[in-house]
Amino acid sequence: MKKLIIFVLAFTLLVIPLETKASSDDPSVPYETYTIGPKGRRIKTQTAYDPAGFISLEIDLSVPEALMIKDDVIYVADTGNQRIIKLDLEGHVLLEVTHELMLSPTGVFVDEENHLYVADPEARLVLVFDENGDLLATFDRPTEPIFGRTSPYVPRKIAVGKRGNMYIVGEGSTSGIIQLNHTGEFIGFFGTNITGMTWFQRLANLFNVEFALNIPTSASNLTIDEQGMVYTVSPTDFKRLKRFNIASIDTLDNEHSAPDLVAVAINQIGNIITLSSQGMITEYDSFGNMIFEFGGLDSTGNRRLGLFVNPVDIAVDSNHHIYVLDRTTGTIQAFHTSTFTRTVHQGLISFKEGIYDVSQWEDVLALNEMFALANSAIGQAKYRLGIYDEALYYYQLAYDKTGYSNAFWQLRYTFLQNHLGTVLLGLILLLTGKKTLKFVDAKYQIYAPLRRTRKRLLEVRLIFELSHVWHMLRHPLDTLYNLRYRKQGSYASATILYGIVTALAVLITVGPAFIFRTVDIETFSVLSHTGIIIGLILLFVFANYLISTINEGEGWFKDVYVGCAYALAPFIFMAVPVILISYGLTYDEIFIYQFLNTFMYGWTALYVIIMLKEVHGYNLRELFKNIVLTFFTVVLMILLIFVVYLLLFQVVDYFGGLFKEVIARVGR
Amino acid sequence: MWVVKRVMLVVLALAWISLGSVLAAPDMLDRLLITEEAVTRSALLSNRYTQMESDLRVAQNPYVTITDDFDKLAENDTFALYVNMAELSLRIIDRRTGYVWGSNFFMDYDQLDDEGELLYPDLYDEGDRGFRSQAWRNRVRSPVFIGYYTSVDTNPQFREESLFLSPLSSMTVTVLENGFSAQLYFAVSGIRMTLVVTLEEDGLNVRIPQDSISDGPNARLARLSPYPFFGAVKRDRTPGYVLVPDGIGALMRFDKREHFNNIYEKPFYGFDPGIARSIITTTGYVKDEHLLQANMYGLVHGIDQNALLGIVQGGAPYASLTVYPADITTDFFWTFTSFQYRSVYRQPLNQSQTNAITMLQTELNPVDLDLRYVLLHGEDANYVGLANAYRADLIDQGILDGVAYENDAIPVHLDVLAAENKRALFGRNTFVMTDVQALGFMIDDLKADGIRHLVVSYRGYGRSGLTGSSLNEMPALRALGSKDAFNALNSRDVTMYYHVEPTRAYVGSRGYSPYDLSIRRNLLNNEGEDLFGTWYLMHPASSYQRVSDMKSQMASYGIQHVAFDTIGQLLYSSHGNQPLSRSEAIKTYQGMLDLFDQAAVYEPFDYLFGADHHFAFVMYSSQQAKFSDTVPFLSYVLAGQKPLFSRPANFFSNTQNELLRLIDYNLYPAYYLTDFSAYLLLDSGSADIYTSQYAVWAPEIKRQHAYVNDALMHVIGAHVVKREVVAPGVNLITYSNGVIIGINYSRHDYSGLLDIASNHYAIGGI
Repeated sequence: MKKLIIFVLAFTLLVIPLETKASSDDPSVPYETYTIGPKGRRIKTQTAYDPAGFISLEIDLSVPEALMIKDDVIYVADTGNQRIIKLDLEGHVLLEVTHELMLSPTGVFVDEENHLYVADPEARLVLVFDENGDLLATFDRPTEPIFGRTSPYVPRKIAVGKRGNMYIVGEGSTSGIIQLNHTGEFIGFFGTNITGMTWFQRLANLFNVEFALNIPTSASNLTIDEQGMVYTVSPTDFKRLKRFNIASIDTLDNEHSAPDLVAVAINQIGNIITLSSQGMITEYDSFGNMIFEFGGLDSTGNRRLGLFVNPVDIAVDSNHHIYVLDRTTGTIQAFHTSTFTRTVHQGLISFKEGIYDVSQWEDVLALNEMFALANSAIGQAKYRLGIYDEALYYYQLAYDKTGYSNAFWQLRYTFLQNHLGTVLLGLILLLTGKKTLKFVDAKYQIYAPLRRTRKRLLEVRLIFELSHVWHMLRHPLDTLYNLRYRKQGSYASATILYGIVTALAVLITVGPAFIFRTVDIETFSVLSHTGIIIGLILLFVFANYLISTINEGEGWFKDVYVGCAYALAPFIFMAVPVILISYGLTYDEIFIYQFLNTFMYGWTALYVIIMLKEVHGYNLRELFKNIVLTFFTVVLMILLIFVVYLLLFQVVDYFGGLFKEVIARVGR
Repeated sequence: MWVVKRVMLVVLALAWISLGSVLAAPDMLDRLLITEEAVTRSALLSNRYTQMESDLRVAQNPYVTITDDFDKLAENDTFALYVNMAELSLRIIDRRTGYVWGSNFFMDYDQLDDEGELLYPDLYDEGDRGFRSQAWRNRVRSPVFIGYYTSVDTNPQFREESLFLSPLSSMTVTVLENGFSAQLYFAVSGIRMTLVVTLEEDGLNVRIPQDSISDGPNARLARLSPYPFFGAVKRDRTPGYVLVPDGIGALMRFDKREHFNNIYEKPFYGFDPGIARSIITTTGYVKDEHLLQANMYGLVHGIDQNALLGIVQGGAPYASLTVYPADITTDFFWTFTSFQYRSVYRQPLNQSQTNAITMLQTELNPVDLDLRYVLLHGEDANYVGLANAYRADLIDQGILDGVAYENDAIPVHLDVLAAENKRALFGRNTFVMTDVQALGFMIDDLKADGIRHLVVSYRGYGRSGLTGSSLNEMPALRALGSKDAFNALNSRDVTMYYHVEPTRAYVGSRGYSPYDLSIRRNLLNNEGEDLFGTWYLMHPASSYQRVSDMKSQMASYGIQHVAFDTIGQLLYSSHGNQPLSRSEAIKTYQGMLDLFDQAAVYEPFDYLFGADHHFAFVMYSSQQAKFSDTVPFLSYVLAGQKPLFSRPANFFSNTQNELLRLIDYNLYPAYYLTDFSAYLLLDSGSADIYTSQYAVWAPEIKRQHAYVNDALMHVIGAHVVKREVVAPGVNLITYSNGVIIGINYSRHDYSGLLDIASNHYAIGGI
């Protein structure tokens, strides 16, 4: 549930003007609404918020920049008219706040005492007004030395915490959000955005090359919730939405969000709602799981109800309805929660209150059978109620692997408690049985027929050759010697082994237990996976042969081909046990699974290297050189194939175009 | 004594049982509708709803008068036609009301006298821009305004011309018995055509026969609009509105609202994908707008006073509708249709389409221009009257048969998904969602609960399920049931339709050759994409052939009725070796419907209105800012004639509000159903179906049907005669049989002619 795969949002379609309309399409709204379904898939859902018209304003707004709703009273920064307007939800003007010091208000915030804080980048001031619009205080540039002499102070957006602490987003304030206390003293920078280093910069660093420093981007907007958590949105490439606790630590697990976020709001139940400059509105629950996403810009100029021209700010009222401020049209558009959304919110409220009400989420599921959050929530409720097998089922529907692992732990625990004795007894019986039979065999040769069969089988050449793969495990050097100099391996046996390896490679991708599986079985393509594995093996063997022939390698193609197949023995013998063991493990013992995997691949790699050394008779230095060159050749060969493909495509395209133009111009 | 005890016990037990069932039923309902609440005032005042008629002024249009320049050319009992022979402009006087309709208007209202005073202060409004440009004056006077291309061989250039642009232009007028015929010569381009205007019993008729059109020496006709300023009004001088068949219908009221930021322009029946237009880009989750569903528009001058119904009788597949709001270029609202004779298209020269040339089509589109203006007055002069007049016209044209729909209760439409397919480890796996037996159970269950009339459309019954299969993938999937089972199902007392999608050929589906596909003008295939993958549009003639081939195979399953998807919503021309115009495609599709005893269509354009059942009927307009209202125009055209079904109600996000809308618009509920959970559809071509399981929806279907039926059963077969918005969100709809249905979308109870509780409906006049 946590790591959601979310695709790029804005996609551009070229020359596909045909839209298919699904039966589930809601023609009453101009946008589609998506939620997260199983496997982190973005799936369609009922319209979450319906356009509910514009707030009919008695006055005209000029390039408004900020919107805030507190206690169902709207505050708008009417930037172009240098004023703050206070409205009720019907659009009646309650108060108009102006002041000669207020030049270009772009941020508003109303605190618990209904004091109005205004961020004004032109005046470079934060202004504080009381409930009646009388100026109480102004805060200009902090004088504390730690603020820095060159740090700019251009307040654009503001949020105020419970004790009057001000959090100010400033233009060019790259050190972070400016935090002032209620007297205007600078406390420190808050919630700095982390910069990432590009690959190239890392390389430059490695060689001690001086490179331009990365300057962190300043946040573009912020808000604060009742617990004093500060939410910011930033124009960064990753982690665009953050939630900072009082210690300035990001506590939100939200890797993916829409790009170009411009505003964020928190509704009554702690859900986070963001707005992007592309008009995309996204609602997350308080854990950062995406619940709904919808909206868009009207590129036609027809200004359809529900779309925006230049959305700049978003706010939420006590009924969870959403309001969006459009800078260009100077309008506030309302979006009302649909029945479906209210049902989902109701479920979240109960959840927060610790009520694990399955029926509430079943209602949500009735309306959307794929809703991941609902499946996960039911799983959680069932888990709390101790119905672990059902919890397991719902967690799997939701693809919630953590939950699944927990439920599985409980089930395994119960199973072991009930059956541990039986299992141990069985094991002891098995062991003693084996010993007894061996003892009996020593006396009465009861295994003789088996031994004879084995001998007869080994007389078959191919089976004899194949049997070496078993020796390979314990005596790699001897086996390789036998293969090469005693000709005890053949193309046939190696090809069979490659076949087994390919099959096992597919199996180990799709086979492990649900929580350890990284691919989706339903969309997994066996054919392409098989193709890639076979292609890579052949490429490696061929490239190594080529390199070794010019590098004094002793091995022939057959030696490499056969030796490589046998060197994969550890993988052949370990793959199935690893898969089987995965079915008994939970996330708590993930290290066992990971260790086994690493061990298996490490062992295999080691044998391949030994094989190369033995086959070609290299010393260590030659071996290293050979391996590096082999990989280089593999990469080059892939590149070559790609280049040839591209060139051919261009040639075909060129002559095709020439032909088409002649037809089009002459043939009319 | 023990007898009394026994009786008491039985009574108690019965009471307990009935109490239990009473409590159990609303439990589910309560839970589903727990937070159902009515919409707010701001929503009711938005263009999602119909607004109150607040401007009840008597309509006057002082800019359109009959001056001495006009001669009376024809008259009948209701109208008289006056023509200014110098410029062929028209005035029609409606004798019933005395109201004058005109093809142009007085343009000198802002002229000043020598002292700088306004010559016509009564006609001048603050902020008028007037007509200073001679080009615009010529354009308003001209009976026909044309657009053409020059330099067609290398780089087509678009130009426009009015008849009076050059003094060398000429017209030769022949006066007819009830009008005139005029040969027009546009001197700049050299284009010629014949314009025929006649006065008819119900209004006016304007025609330009295709064979009368000839191109100029260096000019190729691209488009023309006859009498573009017919019915124009200045700013908010005349109360009223334009009705456009955008989706279910929308109004643009004549007022000074700021949201008239651009013009309204749409082709009838959507853009033709067969014309290769330039690249379109869309971003985010924004959907396409609704299309113009019918070949008409309406003008109302004065509510319940005067109205004009413009019907594009000939040439609609190549016509578009344009509305210029006042303040966009002129001071007038003007509404007109223009006809496209040629288009430019983008001819890519390479596979990646990075290199392209612009070319002009050579031959003319088949447009036999025939425009009818039906003039209405009094009670009929509103969108309801326009709907009734348009229905009368459809009956005249033979598209509707005029036979009222009869039934004793409203039917319910079940759209049932039989099977789908999705990727499996090897290839694709087809899985059953609803087999014939399960469908039979649904029918039994609903019938047992009193839903007498079911209209079922069964989809995805072919070998590989719904998406990605070829058009004629019969025989049906074995796993669904035997032939006998199908036959038994089809002989049941329900209307069984089998869903056919005749336009899409999926990439990778069996049995298609390139000749089956439609080709755009630039000789590329017309492609689209859905959740399953890429598909190509089929050539309509090939679709027809395959559907008719399929008929005998269907007959062996007892299949008589077919529900056609997409053809009602997608109209395209095809080019290349088998050219087929949009008009011919219409005929092909109409013929396809005639192949079967009964046919249903999804969301059809007007030319398929004759189908027996209409599924997924459009319920909204595009809600552009310039629209003031959404009105149920289209559904009122068909109400009483054909059973109309809504989109599946399981996808409603505000159930109660939408149910009221069904009753308001006279639509019947529909459901998209499967036997198994929709969860299985994840990753399939139907992944957008997110709730459909019958077991989940059965109680809601029964409840919703009862709710809607209690209202609409009283008006089956009747048509609407009046719809009045008495308060924001409160509508009173009067039917021809005297029944009044009151709808209250608002948060407040309403009392008046009917008492209607908030978020509820009421019935009167039974």
